[in-house]
Amino acid sequence: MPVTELNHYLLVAKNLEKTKNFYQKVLGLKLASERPDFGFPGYWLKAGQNICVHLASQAPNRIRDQFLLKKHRKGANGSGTVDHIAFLAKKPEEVRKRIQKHKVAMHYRSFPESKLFQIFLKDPDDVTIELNFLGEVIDPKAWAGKGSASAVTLSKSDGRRTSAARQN
Amino acid sequence: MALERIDHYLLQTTDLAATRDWYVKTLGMREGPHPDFKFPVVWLYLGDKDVLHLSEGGRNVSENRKRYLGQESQAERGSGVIDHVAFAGTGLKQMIAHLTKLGVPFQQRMVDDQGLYQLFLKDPVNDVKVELSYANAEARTADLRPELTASQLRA
Repeated sequence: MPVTELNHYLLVAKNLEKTKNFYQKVLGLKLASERPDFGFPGYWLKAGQNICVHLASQAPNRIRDQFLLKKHRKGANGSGTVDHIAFLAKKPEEVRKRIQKHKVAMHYRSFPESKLFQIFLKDPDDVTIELNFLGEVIDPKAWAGKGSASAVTLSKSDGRRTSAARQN
Repeated sequence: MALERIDHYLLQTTDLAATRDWYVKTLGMREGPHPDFKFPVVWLYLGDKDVLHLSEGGRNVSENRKRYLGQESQAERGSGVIDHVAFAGTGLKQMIAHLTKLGVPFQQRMVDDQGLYQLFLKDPVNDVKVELSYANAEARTADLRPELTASQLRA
């Protein structure tokens, strides 16, 4: 089965530090040290061994908006602060075919250095779904154009900031 | 009281059938068994695990749904349709003591025929509802009583 399990959700928090404290102190999640430098502030939190909550901040940030493929305004409340729900998946070609067959628009993103490939799509109620293919490095040529509304390949420019280069 | 994993999320939708069909067809989920909550739900599975729960959303949801789950938002589009995200863990009694000590309000629910005991609380900064899910056996051992069980709702 191509989509295999639920992985995490991302909250764009009104107050990043207070939200981190809630998950740590009230729910007992642990701060994960594995979060790469995305170029915008945030945290990853784990339950047991599983990183399952990603936090970003509502403070205006262009890199964050570029990364999340949408603009986040300040003031979102309740589950409107959830940016996306993420799953783990396998067999990217198969998943692409399936998505195309049902005429659903998607974006993809490749992190060749981290051996990570992602597909983003929207469900019928406009909820963003992120599919993570761990260990996958795709051939950008094979994925360019048809069926993918846009593609973003991310590479680390100077080892500190993550830069985004838009294709197509 | 350790939470071990993310368990599921619940979407509220004005079109249960269309949403179910989309997740089945596009993402390859499978519709599977669910408890009788006395309000409409669909549970969608990846492998043997229910990962996505669907229920009625928008303005005209049933009283049973409101009594059991509440309704945070009548949004029909975007991430406002996510009612809650759930974690699974062990150590129910310790978690209740912990939340009580911190003064964090929570509701207790039980799905009797599935052996589930649930705590619902709010992330107070963002007002996001979080469910903590435990095995029913833990509640029996600790002699806990929920405020509401699913079977108390009328069909």
